[in-house]
Amino acid sequence: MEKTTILVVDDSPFASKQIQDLVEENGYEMIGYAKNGEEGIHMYEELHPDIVVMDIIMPGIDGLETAEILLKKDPDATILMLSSLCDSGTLEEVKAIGLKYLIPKPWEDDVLLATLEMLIKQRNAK
Amino acid sequence: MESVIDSEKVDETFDTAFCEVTKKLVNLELQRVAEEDRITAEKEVILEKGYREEIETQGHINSRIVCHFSDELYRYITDTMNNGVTPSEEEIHLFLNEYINITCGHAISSLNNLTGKRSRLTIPKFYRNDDQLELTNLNEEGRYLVYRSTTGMLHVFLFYSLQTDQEEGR
Repeated sequence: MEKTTILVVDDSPFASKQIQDLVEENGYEMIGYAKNGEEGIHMYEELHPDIVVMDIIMPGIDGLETAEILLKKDPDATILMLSSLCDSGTLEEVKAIGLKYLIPKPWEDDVLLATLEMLIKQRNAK
Repeated sequence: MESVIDSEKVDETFDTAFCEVTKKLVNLELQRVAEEDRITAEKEVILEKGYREEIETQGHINSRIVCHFSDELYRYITDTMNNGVTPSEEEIHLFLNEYINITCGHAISSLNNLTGKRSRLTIPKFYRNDDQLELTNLNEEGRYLVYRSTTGMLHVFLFYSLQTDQEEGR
């Protein structure tokens, strides 16, 4: 059985390493790491990951704009947003672009894993 | 639900964010130093050495937050965030950027939820020992929070203003 592939888009090497350790210990494959939105879009088109895990606050185009661009290019893109900003207004912005989940930083590992599982189920049900 | 916030609430929110997030991220207890226990010289000493991070918020709360990390503290934070390995000199800022992004994001999210209004964080800026960073309004307005820990000190300079509805164009 092929592993679910993940692309991480986050300017923090700390966050990307933590996500890599967590997902790879739990049967996923992190196939790429982009340090900003522009790089994320390029890597998405090149690698076609199953899931994108993306930070919101990044230099250049932020995570919300990047997610919007990815969804325009590929309406089936599965994107999970992460951010230190997790107020209700930010969650509304995430929902407004058609995404469902926003995980607060620092995250709880079991919450991140459960959300990834949920996204995979939803993706497979399409 | 919207509510009015005052300087004490802002102070308390940032205090909670720094203590809780530091505990969660790097397993370190920060102890707030009470104003009456602080010595004036402390401010002068810390302005001379250590690393600093600066971040701003824009929106309902316009603020500038400067964190000064003592040598011992930034080493502990960056080593711990890097799984116990000392990051290179060129990588240190990446870890401290993330630290201030998460702590201040935590505080601003709480304040946004309290006020029902929006403020966003800017990208953090990193300053080395010899970089000049203006703290001109240190003694005029804003708050100054000092923390001790078993491994160094953290100084937080918090300057902010709350936008009125009129200023926000409402």
